[in-house]
Amino acid sequence: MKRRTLKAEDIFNIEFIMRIVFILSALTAVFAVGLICFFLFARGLPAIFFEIGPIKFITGTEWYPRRVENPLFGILPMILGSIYVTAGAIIIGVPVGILTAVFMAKMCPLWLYRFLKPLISLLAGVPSVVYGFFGMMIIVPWLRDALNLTSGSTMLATSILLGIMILPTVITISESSLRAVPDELYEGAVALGASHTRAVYRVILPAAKSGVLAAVVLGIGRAIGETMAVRMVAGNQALMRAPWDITEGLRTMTTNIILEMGYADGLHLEALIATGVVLFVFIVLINVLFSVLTKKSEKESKFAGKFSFKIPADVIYGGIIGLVLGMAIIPNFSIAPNISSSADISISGAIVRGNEMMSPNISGTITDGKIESLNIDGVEIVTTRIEGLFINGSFVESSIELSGEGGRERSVMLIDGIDSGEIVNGEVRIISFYGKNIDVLIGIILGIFLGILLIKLITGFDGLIKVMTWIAAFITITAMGFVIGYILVRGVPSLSLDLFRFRYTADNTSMMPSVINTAIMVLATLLVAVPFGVGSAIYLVEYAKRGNKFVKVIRIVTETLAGIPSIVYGLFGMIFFVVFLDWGYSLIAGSFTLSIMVLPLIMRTTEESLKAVPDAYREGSFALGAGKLRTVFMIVLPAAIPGILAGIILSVGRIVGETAALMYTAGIAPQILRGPLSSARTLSVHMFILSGEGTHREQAHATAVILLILVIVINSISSFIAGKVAAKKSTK
Amino acid sequence: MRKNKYELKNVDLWYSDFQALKDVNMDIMEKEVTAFIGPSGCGKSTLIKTLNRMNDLVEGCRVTGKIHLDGQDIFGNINVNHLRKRVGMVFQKPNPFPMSIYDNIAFGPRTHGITAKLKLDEIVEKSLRDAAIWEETKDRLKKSALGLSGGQQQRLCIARALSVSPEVLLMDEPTSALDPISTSKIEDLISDLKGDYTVIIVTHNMQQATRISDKTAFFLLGEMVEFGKTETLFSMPKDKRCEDYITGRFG
Ligand SMILES: Nc1ncnc2c1ncn2[C@@H]1O[C@H](COP(=O)(O)OP(=O)(O)OP(=O)(O)O)[C@@H](O)[C@H]1O
Ligand SMILES: [Mg+2]
Repeated sequence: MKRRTLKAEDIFNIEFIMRIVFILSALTAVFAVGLICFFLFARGLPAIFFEIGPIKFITGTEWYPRRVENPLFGILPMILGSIYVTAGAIIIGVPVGILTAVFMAKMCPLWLYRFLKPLISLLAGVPSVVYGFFGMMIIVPWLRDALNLTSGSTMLATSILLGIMILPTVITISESSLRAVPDELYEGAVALGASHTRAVYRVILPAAKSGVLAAVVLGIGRAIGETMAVRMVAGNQALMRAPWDITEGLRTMTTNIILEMGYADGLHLEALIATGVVLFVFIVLINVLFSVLTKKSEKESKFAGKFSFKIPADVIYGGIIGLVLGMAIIPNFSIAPNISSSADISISGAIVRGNEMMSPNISGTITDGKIESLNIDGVEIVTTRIEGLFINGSFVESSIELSGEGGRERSVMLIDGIDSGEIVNGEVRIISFYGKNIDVLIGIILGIFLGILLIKLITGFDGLIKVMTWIAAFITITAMGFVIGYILVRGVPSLSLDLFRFRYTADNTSMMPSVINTAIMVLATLLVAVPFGVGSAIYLVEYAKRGNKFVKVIRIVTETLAGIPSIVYGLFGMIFFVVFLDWGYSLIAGSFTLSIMVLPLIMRTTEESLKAVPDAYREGSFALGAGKLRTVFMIVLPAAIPGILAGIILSVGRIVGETAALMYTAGIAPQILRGPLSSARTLSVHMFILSGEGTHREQAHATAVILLILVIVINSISSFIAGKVAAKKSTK
Repeated sequence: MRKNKYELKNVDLWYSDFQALKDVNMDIMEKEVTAFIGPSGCGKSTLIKTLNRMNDLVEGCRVTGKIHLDGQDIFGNINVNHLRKRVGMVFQKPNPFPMSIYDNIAFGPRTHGITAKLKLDEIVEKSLRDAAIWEETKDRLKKSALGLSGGQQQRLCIARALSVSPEVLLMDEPTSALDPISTSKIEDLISDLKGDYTVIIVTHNMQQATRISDKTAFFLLGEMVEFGKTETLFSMPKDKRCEDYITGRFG
């Protein structure tokens, strides 16, 4: 049979042209990743290798990027910070998530499931600023009071918050992989006399292990990439922490970027980009891990004998209830914090006065709770009044009245090198936390063992995990209900008509302009992302040959794109669209950044739904003499529309909830945008900014309610579409 | 005097390295019903899909030899979409498009450039009548085709194939997914069609072949073992393997 040869008329043939169009759209994904890599690596790597030195950069423990002499760029504290909070999120979120998934898949009464399932998909869509706000308003103060800390913005707070945030991911994916386990396995186990619980935990859960592991890996990806929520609860001190410093604040790689990218320049900016490169490498490693895990699931049967994945159920599941018990026991077991009232202080840091920043060397002694002497740059000063909090290295608002300089000044001090404490009326309490951290750990560990012992004694193994499953489900429901309930209870009363005026003024921080900007941002983003995403999916499914190398490249590239945290997109968007193309903070800089961000999502969902269109439709169309293009547009695409729409709706959700990628691309101007080059604040950005301003808490709550409503609307639309897809399938 | 519609000479076909058709030679007469029979996997579907080049869609599929339709080489300088317009196809499982009954039938004519509403209405009615499903569908033309029963769907697919006025109709086990009543309706339909169309049908059901076909070809392991008048082939098979097959001794 003759192979088709290219003829002159083919070049002008619409089939041929469209084929090229589809190939080009598939190339955009590759191009986008190429561009991101190029800009990040081209600007980040020289900084790492030539200016800072890779060893100094990765293992350096000090981050003083703006010090005039001898600036230091060590990001080890941030790398460790990311690892700690991610690990913490996994420890807290994964057992609860997996058990809740088991609960939902195998033990949940139907009425509860009907309520739980939408709740979880709702929480999957809640923007990170809303979580961050919840953490800031609830978790942080709660920890501060419960553990008697000077500040609740700690590793523990961040881990708890991230643990809650990864729950929807872990639960959804684990649940579907549990449901995918064939019933025969369960029946086989029950037929041998195993109880329901035993069959579920010893047979079904191990059978679903690769899906569950994949869920965990995705959870890790989400936790390590989270930016805004972490920024709002972590304290953000760029200081070295030990794993047990759970009651200290810290800074992660993502927050390091978002905190400083707004004003960094020169080597400082390059060091931030380099931080992005390191983060990127982490994500790529996680992606590789993910694909290895999912590959393994394909070869499952081969390995089944070799790897038997026995869950040390007693330990892991017992941990959850123990954690709860432990937290309850802590106050009784922990020794009161070490309070001493005498110390030498040596402070190297900064005092900010208005816009001026000074870096004096401050030293002095405190005896019996009174400041004995205080030297600033060697000059002894007499303090008449000093009040405030000081925490290791964090910004502390304090007011110092300095005699000699006259008058009272508000200043912010960056203090490091001493323990935390507080100063009230010149009385100083210095609190050492080292003992306390260990008490907390001991309390938790003790609680875990007590919990295991207690329940195991009472009920035996089956009973133990059954109780734990219920407890995990209870924790999930409580945590999620708490998040939603808090927003509604505090937010709804804060809603007022004034917040929906078309102008934003200093007196009335109206959210209406942000709502409108959000809508425009969504449209502008989809306008770019949908044609390219759908086009490249069409190429991959309808045109590319199986086993084509190019297809493999595109798949890897889209997977990589999908895993990149939004802050990296934001960083790229800032250096490429805002600075390099000189678009400034603008709608188009923001929407192009977001387009690249949602492109993989649209591609993947479109691909899935095209693949789901039965080949019989295509054959039927070809057999009538329809060409490829006509078949694709008239038969395949219409049949795939609901799936594609679902992908678009998911993208809308991401755009609405995005903050980190927008702050420094679209900017934060609070008015309705006036053109493609004007800066625009979306609702999530608005919410973030309000939540940082102590005077606008009410408005922030109100904004959270509106965001929540948006998510509910988006979710209802997508479940409506999903229902349609399912209905279609069942009539087939 | 009837003439040959298809002439096949030394047709070999490979799926990658696997040879699915071996040196097939046959002439198929116009306006007759020709049945392909043979055990599973012997290449019946492969051959029928080659006749309108649906195999082009299968990756790694190679064909050598000659297939002529009305004397014209179907692998030669010919527009494949035009070939498929002339050679319609009905599949084993009914595959109506997820759209209305009317649009299902109108899809083919529209593909080939007919847009006038009146003309389309006319084609839709004629095709549905020819496929003996007009009475059942005339009141629900705008309803989804997926709501029809399996047998109705298959007759709709036949109507859809007829809508572009093909010369040949290829049918790959068109009744194997249907109940006996629907099957007999479709068999009646095929008998009605044969005056106007060349019909080539793959069937597993030898009674069906004897009921509806004029000629029958028996395939085994990619070879065409015997081909002749249906009565002759079933009453006095020349080849031992063919005899074994039709008397149920293997397959
Ligand atoms: N796309 C393909 N790729 C590779 N091999 C194929 C492909 N399609 C069919 N085959 C092989 O070619 C041979 C003939 O297949 P074909 O479908 O033509 O058989 P058949 O006679 O129609 O069988 P049945 O009665 O089961 O439908 C079989 O061995 C089959 O496995
Ligand atoms: Mg077949």
